[in-house]
Amino acid sequence: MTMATESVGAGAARRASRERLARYLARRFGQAAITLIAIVILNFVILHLAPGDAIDVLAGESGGAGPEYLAQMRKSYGLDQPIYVQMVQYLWNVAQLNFGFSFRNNVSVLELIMSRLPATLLLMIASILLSFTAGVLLGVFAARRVNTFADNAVSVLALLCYATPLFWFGLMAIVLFTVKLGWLPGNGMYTIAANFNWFEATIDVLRHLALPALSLALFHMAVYTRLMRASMLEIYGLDYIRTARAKGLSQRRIAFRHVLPNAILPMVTMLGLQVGALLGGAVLVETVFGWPGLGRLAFDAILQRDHNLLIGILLFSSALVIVANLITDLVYAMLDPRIEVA
Amino acid sequence: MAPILEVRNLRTQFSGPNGYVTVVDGVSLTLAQGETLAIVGESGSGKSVTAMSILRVLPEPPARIAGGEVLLEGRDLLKLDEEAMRAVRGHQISMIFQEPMTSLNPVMTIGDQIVEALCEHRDISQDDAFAEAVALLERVRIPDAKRRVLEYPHRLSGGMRQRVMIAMALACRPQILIADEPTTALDVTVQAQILTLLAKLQSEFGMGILLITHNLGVVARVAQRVMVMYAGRVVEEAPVGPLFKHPLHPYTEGLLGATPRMHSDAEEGARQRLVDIPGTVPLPDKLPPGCAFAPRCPKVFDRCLKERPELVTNRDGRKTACFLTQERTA
Ligand SMILES: Nc1ncnc2c1ncn2[C@@H]1O[C@H](COP(=O)(O)OP(=O)(O)O)[C@@H](O)[C@H]1O
Ligand SMILES: [Mg+2]
Repeated sequence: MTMATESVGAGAARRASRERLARYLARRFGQAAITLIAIVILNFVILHLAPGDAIDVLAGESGGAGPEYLAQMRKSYGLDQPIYVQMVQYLWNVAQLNFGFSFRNNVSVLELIMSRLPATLLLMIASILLSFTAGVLLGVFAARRVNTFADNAVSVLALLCYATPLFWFGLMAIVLFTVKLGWLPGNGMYTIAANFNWFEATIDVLRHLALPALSLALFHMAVYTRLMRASMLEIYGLDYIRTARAKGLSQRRIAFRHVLPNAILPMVTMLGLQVGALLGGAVLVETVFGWPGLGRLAFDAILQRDHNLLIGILLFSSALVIVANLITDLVYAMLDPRIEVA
Repeated sequence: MAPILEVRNLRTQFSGPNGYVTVVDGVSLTLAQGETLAIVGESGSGKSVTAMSILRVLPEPPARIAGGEVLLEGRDLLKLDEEAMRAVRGHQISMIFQEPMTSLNPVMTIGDQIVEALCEHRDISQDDAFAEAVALLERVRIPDAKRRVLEYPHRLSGGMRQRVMIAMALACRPQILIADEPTTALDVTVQAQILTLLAKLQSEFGMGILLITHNLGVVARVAQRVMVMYAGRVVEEAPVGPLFKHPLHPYTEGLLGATPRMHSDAEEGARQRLVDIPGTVPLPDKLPPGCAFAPRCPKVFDRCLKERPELVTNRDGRKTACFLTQERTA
């Protein structure tokens, strides 16, 4: 509808704003890159604060080795070099996605992480979608019926979800839906040794996904519900909502066209924060549900003192959080025209 | 001429910690087509609540319209259900507000906000509504309307936003425009432009305007009749000329006292004027038993402290709520 009457002037304005967006993107990517490098250096420092090095660990594990052999090993791994040379080497390795070797699992760290990443991404995206959608819907529902029984019921529900420990809910869900009712699987990501076509396989994964995703989503669903309700109520009190009412719009249109698009902005900010917290939760959920993801891998790496692997996972997780925040900022800039991306 | 809008005995209350407090108490007014009625009074005297009660856009609760009638061409708006009332808002009666900076939705283009008003009340296609929105923006003298229509409110100045509000309010050719301090938040030159625009649009569209202001300079320029409100009640009502020449109520006198000194900055003048009447408007839940203005009135006598004067029409057809003038002119 706007195209038909769009003037040349508007085209120029659009072009200018696209250029601004490109500059904004470049700057945000630059910031993200700097953050990542800082994290890598921090990792390196922490690694070197710990007493001993990889060779000590290896030697300790293989039991007895002569000091000459150890020195030779250090030389071959470059560990006899000055610390700044090692750091540059380390940065260079990371830049090439070389996170070293997991001696425990006998494969490269990158390979190991890549094999587990899809499962974790699936779990995280599912819980984000679930918690965000449910939070928005419940928040809007409650705000439109503020101080009624329905509103109070939503508040109580949110409080319960907020206060329930994740692992406990996970275990109870397994007890109820898997053990008692037998509706949903409570362990793993897919049925082993089943001969499924792609459709059945998808359904199978979704069924496995249901309980862990719900467990992981619960806490943030509560956070989003409360935030959305409060945000909606705040917007309802603003001048431009009075304007909308004075125009004769229906309650429904006011809620969905005027209040919601403004109320959802703080929720988007929250999304970026959620990703970091989700990774922590993923360790628990993946352990409880035997979900073959990064969280589970990190847990095992700690138990097995697999330092290379642990550092690799930490780096990867940090990158994930940074990328998620970058996406969140972009979404926010798209939703809020007041963010002049200059 | 028969009035299109007639308000009778409007009473609006807000629920407070100690029950309902009456904020607008027995206000009556009439407005004819093409006429401008000004409502003046200090801040807190119930002007906005009166206006919003007419359009029924007060949040209920805490507000409640406890009595009276709002007759639009003889039909009582207070008896309409929400659906019927929606058909009146923005269609037969429109309203613009004091704060143009916050009265537009920040995440919707101004074009979409005007289109929305058009589509709500008229059977019109999106494309036609959009073309009409551009035409409306041109009518309120927004330069480069074709480009502006695609912009978001934050790119516009306060004066431009108020023009957008006016365009939106007039989109469906309402019979009545309620303008609640439309220029108070703007600087002086822009104020004058907006007032000129309103007057011009009134002569084109022929709507009646209910103009709320506490700036008497504005009243003298554009209104035909004035209603003076104090503490939720009408204390005087008169045509502009006689009121300025010979105010009857001591409160009106007080308001007028400072106007001649109003020079460059009208906002400054308005603030100045409040100082000229010592004291402040009493809160609605702390009204004195007699005349609400008595504690500040230079001509107060004992009857004023005990009894509340009603709004009475005198021999010249002028209305006041003051024992002094009633006795003098009776
Ligand atoms: N939402 C509200 N809740 C309680 N009291 C209100 C509310 N809005 C206005 N009032 C009261 O109503 C009175 C009149 O306010 P208003 O009509 O805004 O005055 P004005 O003449 O300045 O427009 C004031 O005393 C104010 O305290
Ligand atoms: Mg007001």
